[in-house]
Amino acid sequence: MRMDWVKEQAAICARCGYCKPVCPVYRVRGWESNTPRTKLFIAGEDSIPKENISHIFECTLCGRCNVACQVDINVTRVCTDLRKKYRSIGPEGVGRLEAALKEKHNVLNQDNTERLRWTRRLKDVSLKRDNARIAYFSGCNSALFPALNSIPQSFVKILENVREDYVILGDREWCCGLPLIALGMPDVAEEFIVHNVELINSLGVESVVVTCPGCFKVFKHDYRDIAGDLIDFEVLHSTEYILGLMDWDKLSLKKFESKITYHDPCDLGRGGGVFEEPRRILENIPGISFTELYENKRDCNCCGGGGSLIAINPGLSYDITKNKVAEINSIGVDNVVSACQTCKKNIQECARREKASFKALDIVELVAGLI
Amino acid sequence: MDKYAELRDMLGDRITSDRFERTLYRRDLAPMPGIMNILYKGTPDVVVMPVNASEISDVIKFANKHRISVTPRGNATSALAGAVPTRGGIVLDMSSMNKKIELNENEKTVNVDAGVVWGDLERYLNSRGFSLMSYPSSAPSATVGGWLSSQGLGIGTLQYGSVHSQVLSALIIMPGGEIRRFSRNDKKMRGDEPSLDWFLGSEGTSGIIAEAELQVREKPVDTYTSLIVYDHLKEFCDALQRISGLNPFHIAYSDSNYHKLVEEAGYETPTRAEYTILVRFEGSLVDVMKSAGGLDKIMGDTGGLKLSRKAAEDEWGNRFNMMRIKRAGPTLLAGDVMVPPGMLYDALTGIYAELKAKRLRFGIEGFIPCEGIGMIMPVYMSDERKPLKYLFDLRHIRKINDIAVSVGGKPYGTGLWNFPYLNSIMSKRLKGIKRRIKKRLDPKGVLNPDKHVGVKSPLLLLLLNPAFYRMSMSMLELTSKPMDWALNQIGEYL
Repeated sequence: MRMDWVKEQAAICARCGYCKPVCPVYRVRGWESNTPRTKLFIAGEDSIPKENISHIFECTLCGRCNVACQVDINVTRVCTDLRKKYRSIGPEGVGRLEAALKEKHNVLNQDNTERLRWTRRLKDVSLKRDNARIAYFSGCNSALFPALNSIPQSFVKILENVREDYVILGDREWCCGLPLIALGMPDVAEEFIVHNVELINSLGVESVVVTCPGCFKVFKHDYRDIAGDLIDFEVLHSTEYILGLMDWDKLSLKKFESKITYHDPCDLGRGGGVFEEPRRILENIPGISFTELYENKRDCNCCGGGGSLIAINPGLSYDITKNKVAEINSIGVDNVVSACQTCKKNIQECARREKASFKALDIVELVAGLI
Repeated sequence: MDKYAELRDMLGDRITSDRFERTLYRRDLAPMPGIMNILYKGTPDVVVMPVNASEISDVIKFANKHRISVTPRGNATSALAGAVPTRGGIVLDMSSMNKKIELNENEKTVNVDAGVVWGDLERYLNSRGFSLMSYPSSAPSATVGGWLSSQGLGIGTLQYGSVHSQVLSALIIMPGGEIRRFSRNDKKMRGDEPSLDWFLGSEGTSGIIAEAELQVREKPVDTYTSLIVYDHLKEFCDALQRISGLNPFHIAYSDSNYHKLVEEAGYETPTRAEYTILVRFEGSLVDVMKSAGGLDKIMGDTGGLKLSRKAAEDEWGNRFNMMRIKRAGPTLLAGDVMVPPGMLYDALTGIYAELKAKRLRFGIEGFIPCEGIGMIMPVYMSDERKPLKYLFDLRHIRKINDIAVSVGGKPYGTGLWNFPYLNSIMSKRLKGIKRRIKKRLDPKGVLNPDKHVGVKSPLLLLLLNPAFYRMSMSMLELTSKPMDWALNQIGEYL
């Protein structure tokens, strides 16, 4: 039935090409086969040659095509449905990621107990508090990738500073399921989603707060679709939570004199509808001189890290990041702030390699550093 | 032996003969019934992504040497197959030429690569306090070179004239491979010397536009958008003609049938009135206020009713989204004809009678691209997934074109599919001049063959011969009723 929907979208596609100039993959590769409208063409075909399957997987699922589409086709949904259809003959990286997730329950193929590594240097981390008010869901990347550990550490610093009643999920947490959905395996993702929902329900918390926009989007949308009846908690992104603290005067920050821009993570902005909260947080920090990127909010250009592209085609992902870094560099800021660990990591690493003149920060790192 | 080996050595990974990739270049907006594949070779042998004029020149020289056809293509936002090959050969994907945007603020000019998208260019100019004088209704994806190669009528041309008049100079790759810049200020040459106008609107048949220098304006100080509704066709047509004399930036219109399709597609519409006119004024505060006053007077005289400012702004915001009704389709077939504004009433009356008689799900929209022309774009629904029905549905476009021609109008643009109407589209004299230019500049006929003024491929020549075309469309008309009955009996898969 689902493929009928996909074929219907192919017929609806106007082939107007509005999706083409905005697509980050097209921008760096340039062929018609790299455009979102080609994904719609593929959607209308019964099958395509194996050697061309990569066009479905070489996509960051950033959703800019969805915004540009004049007939409002959910191209990213078409793309994930196509990935489901063709996943058995997909690129090598797909199988590797699938195996890691099934076996280790995280995208980095590490023992899941390693999720606690970032807590080791901290004195006050609440792992097992009963009936806490909120639970912190760190996500795979910031928990397991050492260079990103400062994100959960910073967030916990904020929680401690405001004497929040919280608990972290630690090694009980599994991947949120987004990479599985992105790779066309919603059936496998369901197991992960149910595990996480039951775990969070068992803690009796009011809310779960996430620092990862991918987790946020999947909690907001896919969890509702798959486990809607089971969910007994509210989901907040850390930017929503921090702005709430600011609105209630629970957080006062030091001055930070810096020229700053904000990069909207695809899954938080276009995917999750959170655009204003991070901007208001930055407005509340004294000393900041804020400049918007040329393409911002719903039109923000992807950093190259979405859709599991790093696992599928790291070279392509890097080329997209280079475009992003050039865009940031062109407006002459000291720092680019994002609210996503993957955006931060991609932009930071690329900026270093390309000798750009700015630094990348996650918004929780910035806030925690000014407490 | 690979006849493109020389090009591959030259271009590296910017040439491909990948079968899947080539397949994507065999059509534009319009889906083609499979039967057309036997009439011409729409799939190119190779696709090339040039990044500068010199590379285009090399490709053209190679094509001349080997007598291979070259089809330049922007983002293929037309539906006349002007950017679709008819003999295979090389497709030049000009959308890759999209790096250069050089604004000269003092001279109010911008020099751009042909592959730059109009929407991106406007955004760039806006961010620096400038604005385009005109842009196409497909600005979010149409390329500079693509629109300049067409007839160049769109949004803003009512106030500032055809976009061709805003081109100050252009870098052209001649059909022999020579790279030349032609300027509006070039000394007037003898009649047979190439000039800038030979290349604008020639649909890539006389030369390839690699760069264009455009006149731009300062971003308008003030704007005023109004949405006016009418219940009667006569008053609506009178109002359209009179409003176009107020020097508006743009006038677009639509009817209640079109709005019904918008609703069927799942979108809100501003009104249920029979006819709606969207007017946009841009300029100084004084000029805009004066025009708005004139508009009120015309509305009073013709019995129009103004809708809210928000409704007007929303409609203006949707000016690039004319195809959103496709969601109610799925396939959209459309006529695209120009008539003298004094004949708008007669043309619309004829088109309504025809489309209603055929009991089509249709709507009519259009715009006034310049004083003296009314553009009518009747759209009707079909389904390309049912090839036979789709083929039969194509016949209504001929009727729309015929009605326009009968009131002194013509189809918009030639491309490939409007070739049967060439005698209406341009005068015998102009056609003669254009054919002489083509023959002189491109004696081997490598550049976009079979388009604009010169179909040469035998099967296409037969199909698009006006008499044969008329006869075959009449045959479709005659057999349509029994065919409709048969299709209903057999099922929906034919």
